[in-house]
Amino acid sequence: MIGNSTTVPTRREFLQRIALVLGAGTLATQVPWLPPLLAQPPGDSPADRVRIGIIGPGSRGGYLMRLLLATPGIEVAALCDDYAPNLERAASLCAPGTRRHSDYRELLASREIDGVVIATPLHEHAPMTLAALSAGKHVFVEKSLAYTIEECDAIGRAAKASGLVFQVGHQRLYSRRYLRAHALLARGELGPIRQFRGHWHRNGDWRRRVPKPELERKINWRLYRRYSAGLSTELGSHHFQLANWLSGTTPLSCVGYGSINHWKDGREVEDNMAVVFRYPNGVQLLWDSLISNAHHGCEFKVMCPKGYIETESGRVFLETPPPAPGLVQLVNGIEKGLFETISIGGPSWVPDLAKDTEGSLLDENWREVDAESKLQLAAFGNAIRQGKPIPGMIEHAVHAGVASLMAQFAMEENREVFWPKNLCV
Amino acid sequence: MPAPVQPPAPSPTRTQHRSFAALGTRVSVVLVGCEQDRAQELLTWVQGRVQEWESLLSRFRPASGLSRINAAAGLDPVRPDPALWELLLSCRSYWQRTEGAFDIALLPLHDAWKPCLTTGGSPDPAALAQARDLSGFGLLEFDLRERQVRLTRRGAGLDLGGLGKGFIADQVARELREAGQPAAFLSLGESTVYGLGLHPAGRPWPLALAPLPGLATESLSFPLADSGFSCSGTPDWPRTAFASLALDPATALPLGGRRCLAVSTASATDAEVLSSALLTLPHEARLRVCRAFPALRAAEYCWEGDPSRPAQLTWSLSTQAP
Repeated sequence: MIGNSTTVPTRREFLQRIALVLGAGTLATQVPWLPPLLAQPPGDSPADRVRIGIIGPGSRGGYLMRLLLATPGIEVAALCDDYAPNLERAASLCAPGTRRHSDYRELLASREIDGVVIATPLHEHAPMTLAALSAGKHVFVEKSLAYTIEECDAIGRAAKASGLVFQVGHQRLYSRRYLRAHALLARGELGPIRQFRGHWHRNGDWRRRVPKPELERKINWRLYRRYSAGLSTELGSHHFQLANWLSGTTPLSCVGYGSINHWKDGREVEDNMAVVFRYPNGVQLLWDSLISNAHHGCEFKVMCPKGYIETESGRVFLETPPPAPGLVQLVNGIEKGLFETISIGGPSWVPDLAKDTEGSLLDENWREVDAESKLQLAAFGNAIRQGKPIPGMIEHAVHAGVASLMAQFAMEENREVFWPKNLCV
Repeated sequence: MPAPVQPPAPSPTRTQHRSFAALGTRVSVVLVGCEQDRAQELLTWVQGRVQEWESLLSRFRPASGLSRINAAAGLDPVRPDPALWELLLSCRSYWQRTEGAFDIALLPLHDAWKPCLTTGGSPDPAALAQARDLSGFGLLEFDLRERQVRLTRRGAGLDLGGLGKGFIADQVARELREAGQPAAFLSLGESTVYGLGLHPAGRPWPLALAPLPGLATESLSFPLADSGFSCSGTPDWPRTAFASLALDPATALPLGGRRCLAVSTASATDAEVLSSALLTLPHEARLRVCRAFPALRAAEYCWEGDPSRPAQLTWSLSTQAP
């Protein structure tokens, strides 16, 4: 029985949601990783069900699990966590009898599992992902991809060689807002990309409550370098993936600085950082993060000669205003030899001053919470059912994972870190 | 005044247009009857002229001539640029001709009421009384011999938003005409428009307000031929291009309801002044004021905002050409 917190939408509702993200369908043909969403909805036979094991159903993993429970055609068939409270909490939301494991290798050995979702601390991503692929399981692994550049490459190679479905938790790839931004840039309507600017600011110690002192490193793994690369991988990876995707390339090098200047509580990863990525054609990505002031929040901007996009808020700011509707009508009429009344009195346009303008929305109709992650997981399930890998995912995973680690190494080693040669993708 | 730049010599055919940000809004220009290169030169020149005027007349530019006067309020007299001096004299004339309904010296009152547009309610009575003391054209002293002006109280301020767009439209249209441009259509924020010459079809530019339920197109039409148009509305008027905080100078209170007043005359400046001034005046006073403006067409519309209920033409007037 499924717990109260989840409701499985009808297949019709799910298809409607997918149709909304795909718009008129043109996106589906232009974006390589969207076609799995166009698959026929699963039937009711057991053969149509995709059986997923969740490795790490804690905070993020528990969130993904709840979305999977609400995805038609997907069954959460097994859970694995070496922290018992998380395992019990997750099991309480799943069907009775869902298998539980404390060792992921046991879960991977099960023939009743088609694929796994891996949402564990960063340093565990590579061994678990490689083991899962080796066991013939399709893999959805949370971002950032891995703890080292070598591990990123190894995962990419293994995923390519396996022919299995591979997904990484960069859910913005399934956001209608971001897809529209990408299409707008690809059409050249704003001119070439000249700079990316991103920031992710919070105000909090980034800690989770620890019931016993000996569990400090297990629960607050993000704060310790042995398990985590801090802000670079936990927050930055999303924006580094965006820069790679929107520019269609990868950075040449990275420099940066970071420190622990506020939360001096024994943590080992920076509580603030600022990095500059150098991309081809003189394009830069300026990115910073801190967790001691939340005023500026999270934003990622794409600067072009004819305008810029704030991708997180989904707004476009044009350098030159669009002509008034009445003016367009007038000009079109004259060019066609018509004499038509010019209608004046539409909504007033306000200039795009940096301080107070609202810009124009990339997408006025998309408000559903969690939509990106839901669709990403639906695509994962459909691709498994179809038996076809999702194009582009290995590249996005490896490139964003490597860029995140470059930022971290640039700070730690106080040097310019160059894009590694001979990566698998 | 910024010295007029002599535009390049004309040559015929084609239609070109440009929109750009200026005057706190969108300015759009359509040129007909000249070839592409020439049109682009003229459009660039028009854009430059609008920006020059803005740098003189805007109260949001700290270095503008108007800002200098506001900054010196309660202190020393200021000798403005000759163009601004002439414009301030025109403002005084408009103030007199509209029986005080047009007043560029209500800035403190506007500042007091503006936050209430979004929050509702009224300003603090003491603050409103203070703003009233600091408002009114009578606070602007003219020294005709020295060509100087002075706001007599510290905190008083001038705002040319009630005629600036119309004035600039008239200046640009005049200079385009002198440069040999036969026809053009200028829109400044969609609330102030000037039609230079005739539409390529050989008739006046066929301007009309956006459709309103229950009103025939004819009652919304303001054809323009070497003439200007302007429209003002109360804050609740649904066509936001025309809506603004309209204050009644006599009562210091904002105008209520969903009302809009449109005016066309030979001068866009006149049209802009009258569209806001007439909105505040009663019927009899409107008749007295309009008599002094030949070839004027004015109309007032009211609408409850319910699409199922028709809008109404509540007042209209036309005056004879000279």
